[in-house]
Amino acid sequence: MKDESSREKKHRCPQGTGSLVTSVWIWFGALGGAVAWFLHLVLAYVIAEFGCVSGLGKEEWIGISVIAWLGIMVSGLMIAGALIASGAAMKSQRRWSLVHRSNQDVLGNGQEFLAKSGVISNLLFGFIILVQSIPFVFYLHGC
Amino acid sequence: MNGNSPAEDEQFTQTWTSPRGLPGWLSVVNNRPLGVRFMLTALVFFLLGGVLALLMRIQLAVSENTFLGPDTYNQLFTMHGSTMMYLFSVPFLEGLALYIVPLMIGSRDVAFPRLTALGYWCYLFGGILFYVSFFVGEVPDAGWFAYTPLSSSKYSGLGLDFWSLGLSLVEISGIVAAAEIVVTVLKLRAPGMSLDRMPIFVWTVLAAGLMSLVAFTTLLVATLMLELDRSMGTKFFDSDFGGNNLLWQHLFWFFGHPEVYIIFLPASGIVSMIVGAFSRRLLGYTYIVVAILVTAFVSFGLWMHHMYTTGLPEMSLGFFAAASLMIALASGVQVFAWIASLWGRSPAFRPPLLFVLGFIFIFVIGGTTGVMVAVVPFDWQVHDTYFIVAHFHYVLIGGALFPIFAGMYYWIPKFTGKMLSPKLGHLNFWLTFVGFNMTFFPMHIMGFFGMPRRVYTYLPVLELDGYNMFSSVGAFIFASGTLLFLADILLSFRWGAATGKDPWNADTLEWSTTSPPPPYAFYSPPIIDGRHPLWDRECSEDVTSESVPEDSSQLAIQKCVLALQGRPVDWRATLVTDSVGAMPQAIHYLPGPSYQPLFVALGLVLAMVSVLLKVYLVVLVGLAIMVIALTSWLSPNAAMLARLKSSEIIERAGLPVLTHGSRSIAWCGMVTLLVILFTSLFALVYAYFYIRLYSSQWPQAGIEPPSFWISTISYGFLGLIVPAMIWVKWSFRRQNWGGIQLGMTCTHLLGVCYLISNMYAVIDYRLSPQESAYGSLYWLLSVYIWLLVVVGMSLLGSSQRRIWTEFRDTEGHMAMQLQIAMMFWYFVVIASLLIYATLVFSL
Repeated sequence: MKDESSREKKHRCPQGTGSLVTSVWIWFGALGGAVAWFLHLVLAYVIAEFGCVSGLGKEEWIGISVIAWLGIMVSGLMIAGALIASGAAMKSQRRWSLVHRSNQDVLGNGQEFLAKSGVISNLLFGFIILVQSIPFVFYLHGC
Repeated sequence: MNGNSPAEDEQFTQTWTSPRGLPGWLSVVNNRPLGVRFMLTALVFFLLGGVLALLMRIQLAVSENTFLGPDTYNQLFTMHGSTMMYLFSVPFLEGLALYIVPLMIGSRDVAFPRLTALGYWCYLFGGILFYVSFFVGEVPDAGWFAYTPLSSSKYSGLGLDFWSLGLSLVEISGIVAAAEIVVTVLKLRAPGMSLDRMPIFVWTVLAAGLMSLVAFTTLLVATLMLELDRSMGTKFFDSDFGGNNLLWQHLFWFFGHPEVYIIFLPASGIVSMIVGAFSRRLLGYTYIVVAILVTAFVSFGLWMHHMYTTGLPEMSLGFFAAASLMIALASGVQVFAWIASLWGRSPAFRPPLLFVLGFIFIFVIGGTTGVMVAVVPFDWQVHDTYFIVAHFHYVLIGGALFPIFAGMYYWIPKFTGKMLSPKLGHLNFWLTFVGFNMTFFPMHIMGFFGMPRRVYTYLPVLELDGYNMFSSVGAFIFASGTLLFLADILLSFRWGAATGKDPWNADTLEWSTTSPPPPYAFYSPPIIDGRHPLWDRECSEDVTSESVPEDSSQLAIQKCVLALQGRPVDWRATLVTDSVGAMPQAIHYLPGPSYQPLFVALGLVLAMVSVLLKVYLVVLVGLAIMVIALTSWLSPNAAMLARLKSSEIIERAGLPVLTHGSRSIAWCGMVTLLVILFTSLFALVYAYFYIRLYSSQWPQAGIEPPSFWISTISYGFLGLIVPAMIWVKWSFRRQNWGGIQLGMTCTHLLGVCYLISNMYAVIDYRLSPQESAYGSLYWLLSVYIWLLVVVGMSLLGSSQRRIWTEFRDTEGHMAMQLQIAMMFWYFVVIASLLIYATLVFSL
């Protein structure tokens, strides 16, 4: 009876703690592109509507309107953010792939999946941000 | 079944069974009966909305028809659109998700059973409120989108109050169901069902749930503002007093466009499940998941394509046109994945697959016209014509109704244990497919030839009689398909072939239960070792402790799961797992039958109806009922808590029942509440800055700015709550109960000081909410924080009372309560800072 209870205790349930719960880095790799896209949307909308309506479209710098400069800068930053997130996801994917191969007891492969889908989604979001930025190039001198 | 005696098994089954008769009907909280109710109620509304559509088609069958007058026609298209968008599509898919998702993920129920019941009652009462308008002769008539100023009290009657109040109830239903589904999917999956093994349908409802939290909240804020304008005389949308009509459109379409994807995504999930089952594979799983998530995000970035003709800056138009084109990428990925999965296979062309193929054909046409109208100059030509009517019916009926029919043919055998008739199913499909295309394809051409939307008749000179007649005939053929479907369901109860667990030989967990499933769904939680549990045959519901190897994490999990086999017998429980890898973390206590959700909903309805009837004192009665019922709901029974703490299952499973942090379902619920609150906060702040942007002077109408010092002092009290909360947390870690009480008492005092000082500041400002949009915004933002502070004090007060009068434990329930209260207060502080900065520094 005593042996059974000690065997039971040895096989107490793992409680799903930090070693298997993802880090901030993994979530950045998974969702960084989406966050960059969202920030791009909010900033581009504010620049385009609030900036244009408030008259900022008439201000120019080196022959290009301030609005266009802001739009292009924000787009560049967010595309960079999406690419960095993609890099983070690739790094995570390689790491978790190694972990999974070396530890066959690990149930499921959620972290590697998050990382792999992060690579794809971040690149896609980066491309979407790029396409959404094209209109700024056509409005270099006003709204 | 091992470990339990027959008496214990009987008790286990009884624990999960709802009482019979009317008391049971009113108090049920199990997900499956409620899911069925959602679906049945939605089907009733679908039929009502369909009848309205047929009446419109009769009117439009010939030019200059007098079957309906213009006012009646306006009412019909308003109610048709509102019914289909608010009362049918989303609630039906929510109901389906509530039924199927726990089965698919291996859970015994959803995370918050009483919340599901509340969602249903709010939905039912909201829908009834919509249709009561017919009986009192005050039918809403401003379209399902209720653009201002047409929907203002100046141009619309009581019908719009029915609309906005009924819709508010439906929105609350949508939000709570979304929170339910999100937490259930993330935390209640069976061990081993890591994210890469989740069925696609579960991914889609997760995405739709997350979207709903943001989209429905935005609409709730907008409808609240509209109702305040209509009943209290505020001026948010009244341009004569500094308000802005386009603000309504921005807020509405920020909800309205994601709404169509909230409908489409779960429908596409149904398609993925059926394609997978029928072709025995689903290619491109990762790409489909990415497409779902990209769609969920990008759908929030398109709303202005509904506003191309409103005179917005061209740069904005270009940006949103580009975004609208990009969403086709994600949808396209899914379509190609389905086609690739079916390619080269020999699936059986049974009704579920027929409807899936019909969906692909129709949705692709709708998507193609969608890409066309994303182009600004093209949209300028076809906006408000029948081309748009054709487009959205192709994407919504193709993208939602066909998958819903497919899903019904696929899953009704699971619900009822009876197959539907394949012959009637085929006939239904062809009637629906042919009828639909007859109805809506000619509308593309009618739109090109200039037939506008929302007109009760048209002139003969347009020469559109032939197209309209063809369309109207098609509508009746389409309707006959739906009637045939209903007949098939009714006939199946009597003559349907009995089905076993898995008539389709499908791969997901719901097919491992009996048809219909037992009240507890799973006698013990299954363990998942692959993406296709039934095909992989590694679902280990039958495992015994003698059959597993030693020294592996899988052994430990199986021991954990065995502890829950047929247990606990006298209270409801399911397993909590972590959101990525689905490793067991805790056991979640689930409440049994309860009247609390019904009373909360009744209190809300009473308040809404009182606003409608302008009997404002009764509003307080309704709110009081709601608050009392909610307080009862949120106050767990001390004896029950003590029983849970000492339950033998904790020892057997090695998992806590009462816990805190991300293992606690209540903590997860608070996180979803914070998403909702942040969304509402940003919607209000956006409204403020939007109106400010288009005002030539701010504050408007020569109003003096608010007092900097009075505002700073009053909001400063809230800022001081942060150190008080930190003190509470520090004291809690050290089990310093005196310190905890001191911190909590300080928080209460600071809250009271804020309320008194801020109310004084607002009164001293002498600003009327009815004289300018600025005044309306100032009052709304201030009242918003007042309400948050009152709720925060209630939450904290509840914890404080328990420490005084009951038990003191640093783990489990007390820790969870304090944690939740603190999370709420941190939000209150952030919200107050943002609103303070908005009101004081944005001048």
